[in-house]
Amino acid sequence: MLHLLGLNHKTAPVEVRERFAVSASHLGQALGYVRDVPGIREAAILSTCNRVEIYAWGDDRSGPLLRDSMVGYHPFGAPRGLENHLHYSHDQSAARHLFEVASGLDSLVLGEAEILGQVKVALEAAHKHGAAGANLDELFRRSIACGKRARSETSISRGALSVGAAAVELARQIFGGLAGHTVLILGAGKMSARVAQCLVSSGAHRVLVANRTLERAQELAQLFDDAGAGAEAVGWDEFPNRLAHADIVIASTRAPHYVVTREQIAAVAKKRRRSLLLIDIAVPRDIEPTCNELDDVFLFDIDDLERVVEDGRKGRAGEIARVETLIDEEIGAWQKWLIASDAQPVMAALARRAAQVRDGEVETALAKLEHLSDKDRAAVETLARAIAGKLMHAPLSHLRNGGAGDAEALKRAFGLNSDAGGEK
Amino acid sequence: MLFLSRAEAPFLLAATTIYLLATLLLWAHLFLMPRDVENSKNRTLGDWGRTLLWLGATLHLVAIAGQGPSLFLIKAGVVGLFGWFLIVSFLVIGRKIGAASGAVVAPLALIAALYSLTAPQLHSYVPAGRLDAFWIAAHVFFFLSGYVALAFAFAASLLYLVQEGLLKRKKLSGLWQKLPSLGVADDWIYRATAFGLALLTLALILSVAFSTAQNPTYSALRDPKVLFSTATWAIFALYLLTRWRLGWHGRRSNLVVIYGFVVMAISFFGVPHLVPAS
Repeated sequence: MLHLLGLNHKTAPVEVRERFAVSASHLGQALGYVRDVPGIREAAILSTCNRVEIYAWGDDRSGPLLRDSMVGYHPFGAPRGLENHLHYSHDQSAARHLFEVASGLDSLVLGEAEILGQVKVALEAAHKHGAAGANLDELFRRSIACGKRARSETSISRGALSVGAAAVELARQIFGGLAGHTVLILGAGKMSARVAQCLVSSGAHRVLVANRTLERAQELAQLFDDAGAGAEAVGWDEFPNRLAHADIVIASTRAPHYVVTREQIAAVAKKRRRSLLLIDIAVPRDIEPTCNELDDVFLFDIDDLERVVEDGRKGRAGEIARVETLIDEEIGAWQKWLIASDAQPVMAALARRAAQVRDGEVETALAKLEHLSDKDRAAVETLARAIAGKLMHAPLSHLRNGGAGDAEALKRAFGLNSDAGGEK
Repeated sequence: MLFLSRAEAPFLLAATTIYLLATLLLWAHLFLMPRDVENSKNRTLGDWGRTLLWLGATLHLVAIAGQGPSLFLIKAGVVGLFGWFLIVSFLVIGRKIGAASGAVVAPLALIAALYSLTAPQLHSYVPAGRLDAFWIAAHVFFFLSGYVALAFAFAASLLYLVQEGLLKRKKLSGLWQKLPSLGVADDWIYRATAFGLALLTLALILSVAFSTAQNPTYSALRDPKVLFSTATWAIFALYLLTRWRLGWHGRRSNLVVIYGFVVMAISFFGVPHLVPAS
């Protein structure tokens, strides 16, 4: 039986999550603690900044025991009232939760990709500490496959969710790609640095930073340089001359007036043989709005970028139903696997029992028929094997082909040992 | 209903109907559906549209084969061949410009198929021998290949202008993400125009050389078809020239391609009806 116990950004505030978080160095100890709970045979812990969730495989009594143990456990002492923040589920709903997590449906940022890697890391850690078995391994692998399908077959991970990502989308729709393009930052603030960082991560190869205080421009340029993008600090008076070298201009100064005029951009646009993207995230605005009227010049302000973000949010939200359908499919496949794997021990026990009976009866019969030649004895053994084989063929085929639901009835009918196919 | 008396007409009629359905599906996909994911296992309206185009192209090919070599001699046949060639080119390479190009290319093929189905059987030339037929086939092949390339340039120009309009007017929801980027479209317009113009040049030279060889009194300056084709050639050449020499690109440059295509369409569809067959 699968148990899920944990807390996440929906059930617990950050001050609770941070106390309950399991660091990589404590993961082995925490997994050992979970496995010490009576009835638990396998465990994996998914610990990120938004969730700490324990997935455990054990018998049906271990759920409440797991909950009690976790409330009492933590290297830093359990936060007060922790039990009010814990969520517990089991079997299908626990598995569905993991599939939703891996698909990004349960994330703070819908469809974010990082969680998929974190699920992989949780499984690897569980293997490393000897806590994962066949059941959790299969469950986690299927959830990872489901997460990948969600991202490749739906648009759950598409659409900008930040101003930086919106700028990247706009730049891509104008230039096609960002490789080889130069970004000019006007005003070395945090916001413009973030937007530029997104553009650099998407392929922009050069960053020019202009700021009224040259030292601040140099600091920011150094940061980009360290990150591998060629960066250069530019004196404020020099930036009009550098406009012609830029493909993307990000303006974010605190100036109360326009710092980039239509006249300047018109002069630059005349010399250029390619498009120019202007991103004005300053309030009040830095770039004269009429620049957008110039041929091959595209100007977007903070409201435009926010609209792209809003559209991205709506787009992702509209994909939830498609991801849910995909999860239904994957959960169905997992349940089939589970039923089939449940039947395996019964099948093995049934085959063992048949062999036992066959060998016992053959031995008894042959003891009474000592006069038989070796050839006849072999014929008797073949006969017994054929009878046992044919008798077992039907129940074994039934179990193998989806009849695992009858495993318990077969166990009782054939008087198999209770360990032959009980709960895994 | 003259056209229904032709043996290949039922196939052409079926192909035309299918092109119409495919066009509607491609438009619905572009304008009504959310942005799709390229490797999605779920078939989109666009995928169904492309499947229909394959079916339509197959039926169209049967109709073309049914017309036989006489196809090259009848304007309606040549126009139909252009539509077929355009669709097959789109299905093979068109997605590189962007799936949205189908929404422009499919209606062009539909118009060509409709023309082919309903236009009077204008004979533009009756060949005197096998050599004649070879030159006519070569001439038609170069013209058609050039026209198909220029039709792609037109499609990409149209998509460019729509995308540019959406970006300029800040219509940042839905359609803009389904159209090719300005950079990709501009690159395709340039390549397709350069390729198309080279083929058009070859076709024009062949045409004039052949006509002069057939008729020593022939004058290209008095042949409206040659004059219109030269005008088309000149407009596309202007596009390349201004791009190379003056660095024109973007909206202004792509408008030249659109004008060029309009003149090309008049010369292709209209001129045979305005002038007597040569």
